[in-house]
Amino acid sequence: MAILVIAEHDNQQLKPATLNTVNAASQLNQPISILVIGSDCQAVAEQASAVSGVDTILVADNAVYQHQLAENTAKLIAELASDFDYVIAAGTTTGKNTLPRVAALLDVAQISDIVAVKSADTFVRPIYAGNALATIQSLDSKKVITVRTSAFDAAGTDGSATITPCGLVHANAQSEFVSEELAVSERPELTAASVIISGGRGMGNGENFSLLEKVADKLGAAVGASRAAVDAGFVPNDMQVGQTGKIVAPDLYIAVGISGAIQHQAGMKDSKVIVAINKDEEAPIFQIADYGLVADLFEVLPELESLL
Amino acid sequence: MKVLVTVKRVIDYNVKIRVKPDGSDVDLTNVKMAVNPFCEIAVEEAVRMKEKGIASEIVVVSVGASEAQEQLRTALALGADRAILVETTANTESLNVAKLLAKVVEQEQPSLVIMGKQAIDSDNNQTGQMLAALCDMPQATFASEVSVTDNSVAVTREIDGGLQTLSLRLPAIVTTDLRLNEPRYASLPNIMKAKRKPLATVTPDDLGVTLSAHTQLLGVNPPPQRSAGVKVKSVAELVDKLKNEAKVI
Amino acid sequence: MDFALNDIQQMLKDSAGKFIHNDYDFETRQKYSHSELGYSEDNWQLFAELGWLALPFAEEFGGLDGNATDLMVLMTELGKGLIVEPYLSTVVLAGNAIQRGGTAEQKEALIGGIVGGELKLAFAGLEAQSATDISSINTQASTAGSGLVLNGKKQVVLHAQSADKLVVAARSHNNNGNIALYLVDANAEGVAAHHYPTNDGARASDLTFTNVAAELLGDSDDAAAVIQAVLNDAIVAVSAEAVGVMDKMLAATVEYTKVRKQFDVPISTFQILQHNMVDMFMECEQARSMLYYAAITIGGGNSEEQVAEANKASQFLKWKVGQAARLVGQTAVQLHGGMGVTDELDVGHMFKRLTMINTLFGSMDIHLDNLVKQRQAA
Repeated sequence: MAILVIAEHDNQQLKPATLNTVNAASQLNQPISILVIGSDCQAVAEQASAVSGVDTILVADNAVYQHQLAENTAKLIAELASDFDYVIAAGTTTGKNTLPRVAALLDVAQISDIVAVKSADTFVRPIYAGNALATIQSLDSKKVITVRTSAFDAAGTDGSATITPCGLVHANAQSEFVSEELAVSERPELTAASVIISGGRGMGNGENFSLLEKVADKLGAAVGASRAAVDAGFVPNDMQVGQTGKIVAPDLYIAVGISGAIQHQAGMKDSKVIVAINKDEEAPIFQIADYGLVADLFEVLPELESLL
Repeated sequence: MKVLVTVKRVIDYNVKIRVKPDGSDVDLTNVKMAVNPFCEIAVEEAVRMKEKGIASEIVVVSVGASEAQEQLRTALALGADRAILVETTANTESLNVAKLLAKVVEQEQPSLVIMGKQAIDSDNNQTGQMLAALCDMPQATFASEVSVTDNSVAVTREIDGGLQTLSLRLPAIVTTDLRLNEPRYASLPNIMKAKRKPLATVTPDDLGVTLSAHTQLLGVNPPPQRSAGVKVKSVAELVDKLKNEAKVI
Repeated sequence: MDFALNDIQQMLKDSAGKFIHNDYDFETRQKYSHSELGYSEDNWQLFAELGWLALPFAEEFGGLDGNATDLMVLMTELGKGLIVEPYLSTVVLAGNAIQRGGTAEQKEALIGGIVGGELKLAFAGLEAQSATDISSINTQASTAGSGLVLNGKKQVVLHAQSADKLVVAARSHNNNGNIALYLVDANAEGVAAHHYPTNDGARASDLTFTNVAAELLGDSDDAAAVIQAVLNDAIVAVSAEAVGVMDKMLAATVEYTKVRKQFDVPISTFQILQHNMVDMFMECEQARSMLYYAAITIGGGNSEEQVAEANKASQFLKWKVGQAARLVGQTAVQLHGGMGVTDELDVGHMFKRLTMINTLFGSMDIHLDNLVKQRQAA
C-alpha cells in the first residue's frame, strides 16, 4: 500500500512543509515516494532524496509544469496514482488547490487538513474553525489527503532515496500563469518558524510593524498579522494568521495588539507557548495565553527588544 | 454571459458551536443558520458583474435540505435571477456535491462559476476544485480579484507566498477568498422582489446522479483545552519566564 | 396562532441585524452620537438605499406598503444598535402623520422626499405644561393675512436639529377647541431653537414659534384621530426598539456573568443571580408577546371597534414595556457591577435608552393610570 507524497517546492528549494508531510505519511507505515513536479527542478529532487524514510523520488521536470498549475499537475498525479494507495500533500495553497482536483479525477473523497493519523483509513481533522475535531474514516480504496503541517514534526534528512525521472507530460491549454508578487524575506516562513511574533490592529499602521521586526530579528522569528491588520492595509495578506489565512503552531507565538477573535485563534491556538501583549485586559486573547502582559505595546516592544 | 453561483447553508459565523455530549456530531439544534460568508462574496461578485453589464444572468444553486431555500432566497434578494435547490440530506460530501453541481453546470452551461473557497463548517476547501475536474474546466482558487474579458478571466489569487495572477479560458471556475469584495446588505425592495423570482427544486434522481458515501464520520470531539495562563507584570518578568520556565527562548 | 415571521420579514431582520452587527458597533455608535450632526448622514443615505425609509409608506408615494409588524421587525434590530439616526421622528412620527392626515398634494410632495433620503422631519407635540396630554397644549395657530401663523413653545422635540420641516400640533386657527397639525419649515423666520443632547445619546430641541408661517396638514382642523393613530404606531415602534435592547441586555448579562469570577467561580453559578436572569428573561418574553399583540391589533382596521381595540393595545403595550424595561435594565446594570454605571460600557447606555423610551408617549405609570380610570368609568 504505497504512499505518494507531493513535494512542496519552488523549483529551487524543497519547502519544509514536505518534511512534516512525510512524517505524517510515515505514520501509515507504508513505503513512501515523493513526487516533484516542476521545471528545472533537479535541485529539489536532490534535496528530496535526503528526506528520511523515503524510497523513491519521482521527478516530472518539464516546462509545462513550471508554475504547478492544477489543470495539468492534477492529471499527472492522477495518472501516477494508479501505482499508489495514498496521495498526500501538505495543506499549503498549492496542495489545497491541486489535490481536490486529483481526488475528483480518481472519483474518491479527499480528507483535508489532517492533524492525526488514527489508522490506515481513519484520520482526525479540525472543523468549525478548529472548535471541534472530527474523526473520519475513508471508505475509498485510494485515499487523497492533505496534511496540516503544524500538527506534525518534520521528518529527518538523513535519507538516500533513488531519483527516477518521470517522462509523462501533460500540457495545459486551459490556464496560463500571468504574474506573481511574492514576498521576499530573510525571515523564516510563517508556517515553518518555531517562533512567531504577530501584530494586530493595535499596531496602528504598517510602519509600526518595524517594532515587531526588531524583536523578530532578536528571536530569529517570523512576523505574522491578524486579519484586521491585513484588511487595514498595514501588511500584505501572506502574513495573515487565522482560520482562512495560515495555520501555525510554533513553539512560541507572541500576539501583539491582537484582540484574539475566534478566527485568529483558529490559526494559532495550537502553539506550544502563547504570549499576549494588549492594553485591553478583557481581550479574548488572554484566555488562551500562557503569559499575558496588559500594557501598551509601544512601550513593551522596545523594552522587549533591549532585554533579549 | 451566464454566471452560476453556489451557496451553502451553514452556521452563522458568530455562533459558538458545541459538541454533542455523546460525541456523535456538533450540536446544531436552534443554531442560527446563514449563507456561508465565502458564498456571499461569490454572490456579490456575480451581482457586480451584472451591474457592469458583464453578466446577463445569475443562477444560484444550493445542494442540501429544503431549509436551504432560505439561503437561496437571500441570494435572490442580493441580486441573483434564478435559484435551484438540489434537495438532498444524505451523502453531502464535497465529491457528491461536486457531482450534482456538475450536472447542473451541464444543463445551465454557464461561462463562469463562482463559489466560496471553503464552507466555515467543514473547512474542506474542495468542492470548487472537484467541480472543475468533473467539468474539465480551468480553476482559480482563493481569488482576491477577478476580471473578465471576451473569452477569458484573469484572477489574482492569494497564495502562501503572496499573490499570483492566472488567466483562464472560459468557461472556468473561480473560488472566492475574503478580500475579493465586501458583500452588500439586501435592500427591502430587493427582498420583496426575491419572492417572485423562480426557485426550482430538483433531486439527485432528477439529475441522474447516484450518490454513495466515500467517508464516514466516526465522532466529534472538542479540541484539547489549554490550561490557564498567568498575567505577568513587566517585560522583564515575561522574558524571565520565557527563558527559565517555558524555555522557549 | 402562528407568530413566525414571514420570509420577507426574516430577510429584513437578517439584513438589518447584519448592518448593526457589522457597521454599528458600540464604539461607532458613540462616535456618531458625539459628532456635530449627532448621527451619520452616510447611514441615512444607506437607509434610503435599503428601502428602510420607505417601509411604512404607500406604494403610490414610493413606499413599500409595510405594516406595523414589518416596522416592528426593523425597529427591533435597529434598537439593538441604539441608533441615533432620526428614523423615529422622520418616518414614524412626522412621515406617518403626513401619510395619515395630509392632502394628496402634501403626500405627493413630502413622502417622496423622505423615501429618497432628501427630507428629514420632526414632530413637535408636547409642551412644558402639557405633560403627555396633547389636549392641553397652548401653541396656537391663527390667520395672518392670506396665510396661517403659529405662536407657542414646544419642548423636547426629538431630532429637530436635523429636521428640514416640522409637523406641529397646535390649537386650530378656527378657535374651536380642535387640535390640528401644521407643516412648518424648520428654518423659517420666527423659529427659535435650543438644541441639546438627550440622556440616551440622541438630540432634541426646545422650539419657540413667533408668527411662524404654517400650512394646515390635510383638509381638516381636527387631527385628534390622526394624532392618536400616529401615537399608537409610535408606541409599537419604540416598544420594538425596547424589546431589541432588552434582548441584548439579557444576552450581555448572561455572557458577562459566565466570565466574571468572584470567589474563584463565575458569578453565573450563584443561584440568586440565576433567578435574576430568569426574571429578566420572563420580562423580555412578556414584553415581546405584548408587542406582537399590539402590532397585530394596530394594523386591524378603521372601524370604531378596531380603533378602540388599537388604542387599548398601545396603552397596555407601553405600560408592560415600561415595567419590563425597568426590571431588565436595572438588573442588567446591577449584575454588571461597577462597570454597569460606566460610560465606556454599552449596558449603561442601553439602560438610558430604555429610560428615555419609557418617558416617550406616556410613561408606564401614566398609561396604567389611564387604563384604570377607563376600567372604572366603564
